[in-house]
Amino acid sequence: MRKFLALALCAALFTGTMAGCAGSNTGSSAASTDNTASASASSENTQPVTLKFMLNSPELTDQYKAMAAEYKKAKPNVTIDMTIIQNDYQTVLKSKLNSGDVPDLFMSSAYNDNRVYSDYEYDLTNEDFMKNIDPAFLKAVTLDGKVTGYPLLVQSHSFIYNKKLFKDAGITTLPTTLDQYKEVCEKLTAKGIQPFSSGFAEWWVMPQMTYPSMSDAYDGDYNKLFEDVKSGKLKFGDLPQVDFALDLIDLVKKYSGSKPMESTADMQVSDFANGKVAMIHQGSWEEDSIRKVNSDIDMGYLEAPRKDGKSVIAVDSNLTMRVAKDSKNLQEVLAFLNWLTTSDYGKSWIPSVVKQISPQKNAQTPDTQLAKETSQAVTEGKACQWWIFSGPDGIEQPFGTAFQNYAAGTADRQKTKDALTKLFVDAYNAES
Amino acid sequence: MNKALKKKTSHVLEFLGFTMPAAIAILLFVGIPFLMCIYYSFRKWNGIQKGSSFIGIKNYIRAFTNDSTFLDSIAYTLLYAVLAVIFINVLALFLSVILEQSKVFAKGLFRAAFYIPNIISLIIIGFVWKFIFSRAFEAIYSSTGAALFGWSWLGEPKLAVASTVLVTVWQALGFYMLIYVAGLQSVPDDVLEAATIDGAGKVRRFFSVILPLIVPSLTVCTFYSIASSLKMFELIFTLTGGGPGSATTSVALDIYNTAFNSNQYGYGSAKSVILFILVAVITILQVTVFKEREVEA
Repeated sequence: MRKFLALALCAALFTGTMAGCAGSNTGSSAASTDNTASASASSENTQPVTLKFMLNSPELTDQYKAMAAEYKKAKPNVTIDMTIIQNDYQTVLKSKLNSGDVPDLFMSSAYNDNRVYSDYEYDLTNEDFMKNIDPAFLKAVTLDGKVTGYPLLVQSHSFIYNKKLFKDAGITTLPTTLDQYKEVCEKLTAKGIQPFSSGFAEWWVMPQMTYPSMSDAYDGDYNKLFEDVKSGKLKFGDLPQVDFALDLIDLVKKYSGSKPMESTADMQVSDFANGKVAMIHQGSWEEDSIRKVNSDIDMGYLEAPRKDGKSVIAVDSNLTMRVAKDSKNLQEVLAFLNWLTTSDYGKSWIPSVVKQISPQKNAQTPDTQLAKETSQAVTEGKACQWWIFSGPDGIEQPFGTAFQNYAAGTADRQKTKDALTKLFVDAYNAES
Repeated sequence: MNKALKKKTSHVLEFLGFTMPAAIAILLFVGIPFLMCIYYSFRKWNGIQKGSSFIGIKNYIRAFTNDSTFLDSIAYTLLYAVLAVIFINVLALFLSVILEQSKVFAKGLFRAAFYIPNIISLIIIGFVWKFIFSRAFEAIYSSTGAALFGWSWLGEPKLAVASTVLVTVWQALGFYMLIYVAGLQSVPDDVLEAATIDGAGKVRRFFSVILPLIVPSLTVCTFYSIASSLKMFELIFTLTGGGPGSATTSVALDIYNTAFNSNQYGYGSAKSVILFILVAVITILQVTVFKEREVEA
């Protein structure tokens, strides 16, 4: 009896340990057959299909769900199983890819990610629906002449300002040079308004703030720029634009209140929305969060200053959907992208549901302040690419840390420039 | 087969039966990943592409000769560990000696109060203290004007280092107090009485009698605190994110950044093997030294 008990216990323990390995497939497919069972009867395409999507940008969760529900109406036999995460997106995606559980469609950045995911991405060059995408935004997803991904939406970032606070401080002309920014800051301070919330605690906000202001590097010939960096002909830190960026950091730090290094993206949004500060450097993706705090706020973009005297805002399509080339449901995924590009709902999803700018040709302009100002800047030729992403993979975080060390006072100018030079060398070494 | 042997085999089988599930779980989730980590530490791989190439010990050479961020993170981690280990153990021992005395007011309440931070996830603790240091301190400063609250606790490199230690100590105290209280309770009363009769005062009694007798607790506590502070990740990740700049980037956080933000998985693996060796060497040294000093009453 005792022996039997021991054996039974062992068996129970053992199955317990093994239970976790039972593969997640069974669970999800069971759920999806449930969903499609009733629907498949009405459709002629009777095979029920579940498409697995891995998406980032959780701020769009509601919009993604609305889209999936709409697609269910158009194609009742297809169920979209979405996984939406932000913080650990890269980590989770990596472990999925490596374990062979490749999602049918996943998201990533454009530019250098075109190469990073080259083992997994399906070549979209010859797909008909890609002709509906504005060629200007195909640049970001093209690698060696092949279109490697589907540009989802156009985003922009620059300094966002509170129009009312600017009016209160008697500012009538918007700043476009570093000196004018300084004047504006002084006027705001004189009125008791804190000019900036810096966002410097966030490693991605800080370099993002400097990218538009450095976009005149090599007169905009970024391919040449990075070729020279790669071959060692140019030390990145020696770019005159780096000095300009550091000046900008000094300025923003000076006018960001008493704790500039503690400001996070959340604080930027709440400080700005509550009218505590007049300017933040953020992107179109935060408009929704700002409006959730303060729906009546009147805001707009300021153009970021540049060394060559021009001023720009950064506009690009970085969020990219990639189709897994080994997917069993490849045709279904392509059919989905076709629907997203050509159907009436699909075409209007980005401008009227997501309320951001669509990369499709002749798309309507969304009814949000920042998107409108972005479109205007594009027509006026005051937009710059997200050029830094044409560089090597994995530089953003060390780039941000180098600038943060400068702003925190732990590294001086020369040390910061050396750090920038080194991180590019390291990144290229890691690549080849 | 005789009966004794049969009984012995069945004992062995039973033993295996009960330990195998745990052993397999450890092998699957610790053993195999660890071996894979060593394997990748000799390769160049970005963590995504299917192919990786063997590059010998280049990753290790790079870590020690051409990566000031990594060396800085080791320096920070050692400083953090030394401060955390000293403060945690001294404070925990001090507080448990006080709370051990039977006459202390609301003893149970205090013990619970010190222990509660320990049951909250470090991730949450990080977020809570981030809020306290920035928003709450700001509010206190504007209403009281006390300079202490006006400092940029997470934004000034040196203060940020202090903040990480402060929160760690606050969080860990309860757990170590638990072990020390148990150790203090095991000190036999007759020895203490004898010391009192010999004329030893409170302080003398503590250093000459109690302390040598609770060295086993000391060994456990220092071992635990050294190992966990050298490996610290979650708290720093949420509290400072390694900032400002790289002022509070611990080795574990640097490994995470290298492997997952810079997409250099092979190099990150090499760094984690180095961290493993560092932790192993330091803790083995510490345990050997402390074990020699253990005495019995």
